[in-house]
Amino acid sequence: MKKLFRPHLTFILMGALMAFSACDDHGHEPHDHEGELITTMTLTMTPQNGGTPITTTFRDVDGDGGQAPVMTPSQVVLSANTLYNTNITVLDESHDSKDLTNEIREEGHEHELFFLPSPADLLTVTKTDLDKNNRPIGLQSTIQTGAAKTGTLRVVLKHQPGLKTATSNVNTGETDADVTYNIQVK
Amino acid sequence: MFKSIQKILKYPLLALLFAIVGLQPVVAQQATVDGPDAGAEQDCGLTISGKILDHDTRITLVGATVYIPELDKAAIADEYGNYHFHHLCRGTYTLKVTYIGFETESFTIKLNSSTVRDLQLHTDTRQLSQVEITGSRLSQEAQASGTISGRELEATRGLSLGESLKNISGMSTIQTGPTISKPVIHGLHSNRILIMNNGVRHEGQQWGAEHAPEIDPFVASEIKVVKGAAGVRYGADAIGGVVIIEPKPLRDSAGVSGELNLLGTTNNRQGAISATVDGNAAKIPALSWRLQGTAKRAGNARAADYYLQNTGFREVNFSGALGYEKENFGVEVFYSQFNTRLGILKAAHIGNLTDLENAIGRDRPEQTSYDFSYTIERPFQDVQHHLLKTKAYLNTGNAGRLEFIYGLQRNIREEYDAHRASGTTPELSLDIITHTTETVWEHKPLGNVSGSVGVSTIYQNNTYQGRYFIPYFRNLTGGAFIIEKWQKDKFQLEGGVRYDFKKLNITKRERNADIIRPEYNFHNISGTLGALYDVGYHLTFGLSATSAWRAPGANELFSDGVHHGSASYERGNRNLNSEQAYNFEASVNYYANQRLNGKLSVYNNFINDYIYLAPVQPATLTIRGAFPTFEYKQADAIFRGVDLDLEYRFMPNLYLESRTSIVRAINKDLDDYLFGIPADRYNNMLRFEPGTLAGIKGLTGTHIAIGGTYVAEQTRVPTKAEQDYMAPPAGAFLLNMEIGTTVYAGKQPVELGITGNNLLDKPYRDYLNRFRYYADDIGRMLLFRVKLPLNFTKN
Repeated sequence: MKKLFRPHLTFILMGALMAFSACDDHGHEPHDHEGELITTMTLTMTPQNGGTPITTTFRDVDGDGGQAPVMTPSQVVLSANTLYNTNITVLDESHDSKDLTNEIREEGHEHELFFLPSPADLLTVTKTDLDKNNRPIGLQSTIQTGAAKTGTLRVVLKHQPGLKTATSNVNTGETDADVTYNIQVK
Repeated sequence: MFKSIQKILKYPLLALLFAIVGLQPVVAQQATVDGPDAGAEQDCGLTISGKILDHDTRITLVGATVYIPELDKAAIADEYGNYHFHHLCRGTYTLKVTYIGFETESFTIKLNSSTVRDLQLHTDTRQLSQVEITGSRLSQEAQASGTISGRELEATRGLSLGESLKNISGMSTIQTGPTISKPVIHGLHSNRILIMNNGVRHEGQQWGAEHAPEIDPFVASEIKVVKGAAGVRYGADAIGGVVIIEPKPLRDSAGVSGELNLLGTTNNRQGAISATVDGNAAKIPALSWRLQGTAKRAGNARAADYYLQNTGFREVNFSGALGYEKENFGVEVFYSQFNTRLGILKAAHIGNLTDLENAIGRDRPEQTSYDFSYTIERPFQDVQHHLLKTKAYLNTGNAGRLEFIYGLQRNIREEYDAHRASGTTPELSLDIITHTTETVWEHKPLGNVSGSVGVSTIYQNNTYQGRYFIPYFRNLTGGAFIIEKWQKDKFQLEGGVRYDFKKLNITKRERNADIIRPEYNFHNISGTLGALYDVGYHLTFGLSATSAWRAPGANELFSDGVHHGSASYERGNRNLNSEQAYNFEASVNYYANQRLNGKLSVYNNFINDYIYLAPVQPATLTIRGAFPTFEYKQADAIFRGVDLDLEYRFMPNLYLESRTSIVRAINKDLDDYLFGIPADRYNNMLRFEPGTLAGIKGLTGTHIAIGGTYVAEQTRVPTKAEQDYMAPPAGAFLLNMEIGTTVYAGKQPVELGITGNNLLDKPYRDYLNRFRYYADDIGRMLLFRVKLPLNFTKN
């Protein structure tokens, strides 16, 4: 009887051995790397007739979720009936700060920024930079304010690979950034 | 470590072995079969006759042997599969039926008057009995199951595993575009069903609805689906059911044979080749081997009106097996590798909710100006799966049979996103290694009781590189079970119980860069009870109560981020408990009749603490705008439904095959429907099997089938909370067709087949396709198949 059970035990032990010998402790730790993350979008508006540049920044350093994004200032104040030269910078500040603006400019034929003021007569945005196909990009623009009013400016950065044409618009392609800034014109 | 395990395992198992073996002689004495009743009034002019049939195909088995040991008489089934015994006296007889390639089965018949009784045999799968641990298959389990094999399986060659299973009632698929398809059993999928691949529990990143099973369907010679909770036999997670993939047994006679499959399709212009070579050494008869390989390549699939850009795929798989089988022991080593690159529909790569709403608003994707192409661009997935399996068994004479299986799997999943300035590296790479063991001792039948006991373990280690999706984790699962089956005359009872524990160790980097290492411990008991009653007249009733449990997955506990393609922010819940399922099922089976055959099964699967994604407030604000936010929650749920299989024969070779699958799923806590449940599904095929066509010589096995599938609109969707962005698509009827025949080039048989799906090229969308927001489902597709069975053995 005793002899009969020996092979069984061997089998069971073989199984147990293989299962448990695998319990190597994994001392290493995860390091998260988002491939490329847009965390920050800044509008820098310089009055054409001279004056201090005005900036407004939307920043979400830890990416989607986690800490809520921060808008500085919470409301930007512009002068009525003034023309501003506007630059947009796009950053990845998740690890070390990395400026993505040039990358977007180089791939300008696949990107376009769209400006959606609300109410519509809050201000007028005219894109002044062009991609290699002479289509506007929008990293550089002018903003012409109207009469005193409070509202918002929604800035949408679209990735439109193979889709950017004379008829492409804010609904074309994939959204890389979509930020709404609070603006007071006075 | 080693010693302590030895101690733990040694004593209870020894005790169990002694206990069962000790019982054996006592029970065995009671179990002697009643011989012809000598004392009763003699009436010795009785006849017993009937047909011998293949259980699965209902084909008659010409030449099968029927032997009555009580009389030492034998008969051989004639050219119509009929057997006869004449001049029998009243009494109880055993009919032992044997046929090559089938399991020998014994039927006990109490003869009071002349009787016609058809006897069915099952294909011999004993060499792969790891999953058939109940051993003898005198009759099926009480729990509902469905099988595809033989010609039915051939007709699905070239389709993914999920698509191949749609022909079983109760089954549907959850898709992510045309390339990714996963099986759904009774409304449950992903980590709620188990896939047993060649006797080893398939382990990858199966929690993801867009992670297709990494299995080459060409390896399978039979795919069986156990429907409903089946935790006792298969272990944790089998809440919805089990898909069992079985390859052909290794060659058991000397020689070398093979099989070559060639496949081409319209629509995505898929080309596939799959070859198998089987051998058995003449000098060492115990030694058998097999080599198998498959290569596939497909380009963009086409919906009825446009190409679906970037939906091509490539696949290269191979496997090898070596077996050494003696009467009393055997070992087998198997290795397989699966490699695929799957394109993801370009239009489904979106940035935010507005993009999704724009996509829903369009009647076709923006990116349709492209022509057909085999190019796979970002986004795509690269997946590699390795499986190494070793199996050993020992027939322990008086005691029974002991089997041990060890499986080593490694699954590497790389996801390439479509971002600007993406390099050549994946944005996410998940790597999971799994060791599984199973030791099963199938004891010799003790009188009317047969069964088995077993112990199984799983050890897993998951790591990743790139963006966060799920944390690092280690998982140790152990379980022990016992299943016994008692059978007498027309009644069969089965019962089993299982205990499992699961220890989950997480290593996660929090957003503030701290490392946390929480540990979770789950343990649960599963049970199964089943009864089958053979009323006679080809009618059986079955009742079953089964249970299973599932621990929350690492994704459900710790996911945290925007989900691609669905424009939602998904958040894990670190306080989830295990799900526990109790499945009750009643079935009626009316079989082996000349005209009408059918099977009806009604089920109720109660899932306590069902884990689901529930919408929560507020929305999550990101630099791409606000995303609706979902969090994993738990509620008691019921999945109930009906599966109906019907077959009506107008003529011996003309019949209608009908399958109906209906499932309803309710969140009991909210008194609301659950999201993403398959719509009612009806499948009807008219099949004509002339075998040989009049006037055409050399054609055999000819068959033609035409019919279709109607999937209704899903009208039962959650109403109490916003859970979806788009109403379920309208119902759709798809016309399908199958033609096949075998021609002979000299002595070489060549099997030819054409399968046509969506023949009317109907534009439609499917509720269970996660990309239904973006594009139509696949249009007309014809699959052309050539199969060459090869024999290299010199006769």
